[in-house]
This record gives sequence, C-alpha cells and structure tokens, in this order.
Amino acid sequence: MFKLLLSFLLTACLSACDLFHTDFNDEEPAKLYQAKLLSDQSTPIMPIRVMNWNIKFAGARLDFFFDCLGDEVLMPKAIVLANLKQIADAINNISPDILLAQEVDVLSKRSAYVDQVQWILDHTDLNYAAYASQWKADFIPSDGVGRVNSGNVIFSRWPIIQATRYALAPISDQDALTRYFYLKRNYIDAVIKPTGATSIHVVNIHTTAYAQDNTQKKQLDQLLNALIELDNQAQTFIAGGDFNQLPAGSSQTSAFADNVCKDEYVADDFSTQTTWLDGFYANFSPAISLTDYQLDNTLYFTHSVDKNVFWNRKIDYLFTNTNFEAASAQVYQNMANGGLQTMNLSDHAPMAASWSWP
Amino acid sequence: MKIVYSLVLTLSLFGQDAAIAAMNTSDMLKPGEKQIGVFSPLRYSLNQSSEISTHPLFDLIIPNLRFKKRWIQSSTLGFASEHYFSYPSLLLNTIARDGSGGILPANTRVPQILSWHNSVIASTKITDLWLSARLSLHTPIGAKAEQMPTIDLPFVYQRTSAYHYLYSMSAGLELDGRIQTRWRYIVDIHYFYLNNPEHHQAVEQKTSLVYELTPTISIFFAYIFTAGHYPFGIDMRYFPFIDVIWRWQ
Repeated sequence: MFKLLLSFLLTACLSACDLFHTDFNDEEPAKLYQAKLLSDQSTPIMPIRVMNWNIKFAGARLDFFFDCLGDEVLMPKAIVLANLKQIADAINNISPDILLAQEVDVLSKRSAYVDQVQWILDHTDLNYAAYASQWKADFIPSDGVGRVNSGNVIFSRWPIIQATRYALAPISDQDALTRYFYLKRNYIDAVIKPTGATSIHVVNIHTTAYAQDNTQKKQLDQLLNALIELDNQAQTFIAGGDFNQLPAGSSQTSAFADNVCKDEYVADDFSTQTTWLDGFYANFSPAISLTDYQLDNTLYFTHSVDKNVFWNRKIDYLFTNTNFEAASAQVYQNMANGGLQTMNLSDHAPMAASWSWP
Repeated sequence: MKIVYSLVLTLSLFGQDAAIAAMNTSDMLKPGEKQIGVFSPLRYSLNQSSEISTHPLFDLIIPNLRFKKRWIQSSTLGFASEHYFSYPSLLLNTIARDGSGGILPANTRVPQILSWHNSVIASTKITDLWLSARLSLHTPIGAKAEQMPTIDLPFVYQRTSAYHYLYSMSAGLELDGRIQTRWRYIVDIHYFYLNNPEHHQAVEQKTSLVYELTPTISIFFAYIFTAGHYPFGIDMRYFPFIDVIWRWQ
C-alpha cells in the first residue's frame, strides 16, 4: 500500500512538468483539418488563385493592449463571429484555391475559444487545412490573456497529404520565464496534391516583429535555406507569409506614425535591414516584383498598426520557384485598389496572385 | 517572479482545502490547540465542538474566516457544519493588471463580492479508518456574469465559477487512515457542479502521504488530480505539492 501510494505521488510529480504545455519539437506534424462539407476539388487546369492574409485572430481593428492603442484583451463570441463572417466574405470574394493565413486562433480565450480554422473551412470553398501553432499555453499569466493557441495555417481546395511544422530560431535575449510563455515562431510546409496532378509544396511563415537582436534575420535565412533545398530537389513550391520585413527600395524604412508603443519594443526601424529579403528576390519569383514595388510603394502596402492610418508598409509576401501569372498580383487595400474594403478587417491587407499548376 | 507569485497566491487561496489534517472531516482540534501550514490555514480551537480558521498571510488581500461546528460526536460517528466567508474582490483587483501577473485583463470591472460557502460533514469510523462525506453550497453575493471574465484554470475555475453564475455545489468523500506508526494517508475525491449555462462539472482527487516528524510537526506529500469541463473543453492534470503543518497548544 505504502509503495503504491509513493509511486503514485512520484508519477504525479513528473507528469506535472511543463505545466502550461508551451513547448514544441524542432520538427513535428502540423494538425490537419477538413471542412464539414467538401466543395469542388476538380483538377487545376486553369491558373489557380493563391492568397496570403494575416487575419489578426478576427480581432479586426479593435484597439488591443499590445499595440498600445487601447486596452482590449478579450473579445465576446458575438464579436469574433461577426469579424470572422467579414473575413470569410472577403475570402469568398477573392476566391482563392490556396490561402496562407497567419494569426489564426484555434483555442484562445481572447477569441472566445472559436476554432477559426474549422470556422473558415466551413464558411468558404476551401476544403482542407494544415495548422501549426506559434503561441500555445494553457494559461498566459500576463495581461489577462489566459489560454492561447494561435498560429499559421495553409488552407487548400485540394487534399493536403503531408504537413510539417518547423521551429524557427527563438529570440536570444529573453529570460527563461519569458521565453517559456512567449511565441514560438515556425514555418509550415504542406504538400498539396489534387487528383490527377503533381504535388506541390506550400510554405507559410510568420517571423518575429519584436526582436532587438538579429533573430528575424536567422528566421528568414532558415526559410530561405529550406526553399533553396526544395528547389534543389526539383520540388515546386509557393511560399509566403507575414515576413515582418520591408522590401529593398522602400521609401520609408523608419518612424512610422502609427507605432505608438513606448514601454515595449516594436520593430519600427528597418533602415539597416533593407537587404534581408534580397535572397528571396534573387533566387525566386515574387508575386509583386521589386520593379513594380519600387515604381510606387503605396499600391502594395499590406500593413498598418492603427485603424486610422491607411496601409503604410509592405511586410507580406508570395514567392514561387516557378512563376506567377504576369500582372495577376493584387493587394486588396480598398474599393479603389482591389475592389474590397479591408481596412476594417485586420491590421493586414490580403494579397493574391494567379499561378499555373505544373 | 511576479508571475510565479501571482500563480502561487491564486492557487493557494483558491485551493485552501488542500493538505489540511482532518479538516475535511467532522474532527476538531483539541480545545486550545492551534495549527498552521505553509499552504494551510491557521486553525484555532474555540472549545470541544467548534473551531475557527483563516489564512493569516492572505488576510490582507483576501479576508477570510472559516467557522466549523461539531454537532454530534461519538467514538464511531461525527456530524459537523462549516461556514466559510471571504471577500475576494481585493485579490481579483490585484490580479486584474497589465503585464506579468495579469490573470485578468486590466480593464476588468471587478464587482464587490461576498463569498459564502456552507458545508455539512458526516464522518464515521470503519475499523481503523475514518470515512467522511461533505456537501457544500457556494453562494456569493454581488457577482454578475457579465462583469468580469472567468478564470479558466483547473482548480481555480470550479472555485470561482459561482462568482459569475449565482452558485455552485460540491460533494466529496474522504478516507483517513494510518499505514505505519508515523505514516498516515488521506485520500479524497470531490465533485463540483457549476451553475453556468453549459452546466460544467469537475472532479478533484487528492492523495496525501503524511509523515509525522514529531508529535507537533507533520509533512504532507501529496498530489491533486483534477478533470473537468471548462470553457475551452475538457482538461485533466496533476498538481503535486508538499506542505508542512505545525500544531501547538
């Protein structure tokens, strides 16, 4: 009896390690989803539409505490569902076959525990998804955040036959406790294979915006090396995401008017980092070429922090090792540019481009 | 550090019926006897049939007082009632903050809550074991569902749910026996019924090994296991802890 109780207690002590379940392996399978009702999955003959969007966990333009613009932390379910409805409407309007999404919550108190991956699948023509968490904790004991599970998703009209979450380098100058509860950045690589067509890789990344060291450069280099390796293996890929970095030739690289945080560091000065994306542009084809971007930056801006400041920087991207259809790329900024009013939906504008299946 | 402090404080205060020798039974301290533990309250026997207890360290932030009255006691049977009052609004305001230690959002409007637990406890002796049964009703005054977010943490959620939804109930069984001269064990299980729209429920099971270091000092080696239905779904987990309890006359 005594030994039994003692072994019970020892087992209990050991299993209580990583109390808040925040850890990931360097490489692990992504979580796969499927829509309740499947829509058209016919073989892609015509060019397909590929879209990228950071949907800000359906927080729309509420003034959250982390942007230093307000004190919002938690949203009621009705607000989350109303915002998701607008996001789904925009997705349906753009009608992508593949969607790379960032900041999608699946079980977070801030978004009323709505599984946004499943919700989007069930309210669009996208059928399959692969999810990789970048922020997971049973409870974040800070700012009233509570439970969180949020990450990157690759949505697809066609089946995802394999998907892997790859861990990115962590910020190096954090103390152990902060790092334990902090975001664990990643990129996700999903293999999509329509019936009767060859498979392709789709890669989605969201790099850090809060590092004061060169962590973001390390993360971008990890992705670049992975894409070069895919290319060397003669694998076709589409890669994109929220790179949190400006392209070369940006007319403004610092002092953005809508960055108002004083106590907390937020990346606001990119002036010494303008070459960090050169490897992507040198090796692969962008949806929006540097030439087009440098002719007029403003047409391709995808982000602003403050709802009262129009899109004022480009930090979201799509690349491929084949080619996007000429002149097919579009950032959906407003009715005049893209035909969709998106300023009120997220702090990022969606972008899309057409691409022919090999 | 603030995070650790807040979590320990929160768990300690809301988990205060853990690791208390004979506290969940109808048993009482001897008249004039006092008892205190690191995580357990200060107990003071008023007379043969009643005692009071409080967490002195936490009284500044969550004033609390427990009164236990034994109504029937024989060599094989006991019956008692327990009445526990606390004022958690100060603590809730403290953990509603920006940055580390913010269990609730800083913009939370914490209402004035008077928390009131009433329990009945029946104990019976079976050979050398004491078996106790407890029924509790938690009826806070002043709380409203829409005024603050729930704290969706195992152990905490079932103890604070009534702040939002009028009341909660619990029922429990406890077995208290001796293994060797200096070793005792306490095994208990508690069921919680929460009066929220989803009718969430939770179960807690605690096993303690008690080593009586001296006649006045006991060390508790224990775990609590909990499984429950929370706003995010079903969750199960262990929580090990050690407590030291000191008794004196």
